[in-house]
Amino acid sequence: MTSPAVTFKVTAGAAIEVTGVSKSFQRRGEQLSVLDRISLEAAGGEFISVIGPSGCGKSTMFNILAGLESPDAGEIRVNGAVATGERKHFAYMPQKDLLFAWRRVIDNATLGLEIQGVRKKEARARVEPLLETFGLAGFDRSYPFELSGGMRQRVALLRTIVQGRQVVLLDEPFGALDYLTRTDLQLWLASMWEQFHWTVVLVTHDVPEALLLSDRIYVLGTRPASVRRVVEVDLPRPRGLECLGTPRFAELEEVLLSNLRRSG
Amino acid sequence: MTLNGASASKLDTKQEEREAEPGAGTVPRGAWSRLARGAGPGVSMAWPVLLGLVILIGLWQLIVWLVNPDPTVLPTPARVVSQAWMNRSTLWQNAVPTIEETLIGIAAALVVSAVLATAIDLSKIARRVIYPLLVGSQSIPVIVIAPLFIMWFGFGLLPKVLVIILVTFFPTTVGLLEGFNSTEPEASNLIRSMGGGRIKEFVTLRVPTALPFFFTGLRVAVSFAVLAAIFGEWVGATTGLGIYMELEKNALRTDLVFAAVLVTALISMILYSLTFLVQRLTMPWYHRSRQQGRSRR
Repeated sequence: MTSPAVTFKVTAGAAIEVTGVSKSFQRRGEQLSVLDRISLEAAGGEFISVIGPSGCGKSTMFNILAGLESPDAGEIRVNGAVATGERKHFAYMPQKDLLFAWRRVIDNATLGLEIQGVRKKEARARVEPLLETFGLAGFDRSYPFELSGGMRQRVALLRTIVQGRQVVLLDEPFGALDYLTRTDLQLWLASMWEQFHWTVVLVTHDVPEALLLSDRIYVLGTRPASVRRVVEVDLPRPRGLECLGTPRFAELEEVLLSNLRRSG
Repeated sequence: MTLNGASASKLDTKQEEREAEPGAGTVPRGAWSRLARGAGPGVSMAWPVLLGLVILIGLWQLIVWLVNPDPTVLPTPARVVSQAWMNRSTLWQNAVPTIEETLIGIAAALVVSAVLATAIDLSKIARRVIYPLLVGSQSIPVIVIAPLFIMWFGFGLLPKVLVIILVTFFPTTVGLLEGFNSTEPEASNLIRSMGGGRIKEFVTLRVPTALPFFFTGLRVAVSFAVLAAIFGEWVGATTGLGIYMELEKNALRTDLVFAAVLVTALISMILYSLTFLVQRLTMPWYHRSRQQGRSRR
């Protein structure tokens, strides 16, 4: 993983700043406030998590970051420049893997590049060197139905990463997996991040997952969602399985859980 | 089918019996596709089809023995087959134009439904304008309109193709529309987040999603298409199985009418099998994923 890895290290890792983002919807004539002055920030190459109870408006926040919806108030800055409503900065990995059944692994991975207008051949050439890193060597010609849940998720992450966007948005990426596979992938993602240092925004309600991966965690309250607490995760890196058993991990886990329960 | 309404009542009942034949064959649904492939394991799946045929022909023969009708009313299956063989060159000469009309008609209907479905899917205005017309078009009685087509366009290819389009474009259009609509909204969002617009979403996501639905519609369309061609000829043509049946019926050659029905059924079955073949070639992942699902069960 020499040259492409370097490329991605350079393209990824922009600083983002979300300031005072609010959003409400009209539903049956009623004003329904979903997000209330959310502010987050991540320096270039930082991994931050947003954690909150189900239905707290995380998806709306993601849609706003990805430029699919526009906020009523507030702004998003990427490397200092206003980027509200722009789609070119964030690569989005949704909750479902959403691999296209009719595309082979390699063609699923190149989807984002193809949409951006990169020629198929070139897109493949960019993806191929990364297959091994993502544990997909030898599976590039397989169809999604031939893969395990964990592999499908790795393809989805590869599809997200190769777009070469500055920030990666992960929306509960491992939520649908069984416990063992999920833990495996969390540890794997931690090691991948150590290697590439993308700027990542992860949305999850899995507290250990957030702790294992993040530099900083934002705890959201229920509707309208607002930031209740910001927790700096000062666990030493690189973090592996052993990190889960440390007293500091347990301490932070308790802080997060109590904040989540209070706000829920 | 409304198409047969104008024809003699006896032929009607027989035609229905013939129509039931491919039905009997599809009891195990995959059998036809396997037959079409001619693959090794397919042979073992072919016997229920043959069994169905044998039972049907056996019943027919039994009725003839018991009732002993005049051969102009109901000939024996053996007589139908032997007469079909004796008249094979005439039958073939009449089958060729029917097959041509059917293929051209289906192709034209596919173009029409692709254009309509694309317009409806991409534009809200088109949806409002076209959709009611589309549904309305299916209440046009083909029996009434087909003779008018002959009056307007003569005895050539065009009126037959128009009848086929009218009868077959609806199932494929509806199949495509249902297919487009089955696209996951999250997948559309994904394409949009990648910077794709409506057209890219349509081409990379909506069209492939619609394919299985389209093929279901195509199978319905194909099974109607041959009948539509026959009917188009029935109301006026110089050659073709439709006009051949009409002439032989008037000559009281019921055996030859049945022979022509036999050929019609064969054409239908072959075309129906071909849809599976084309589907396998267009969507290899679909077949394989379903096979895997089956073996897991």
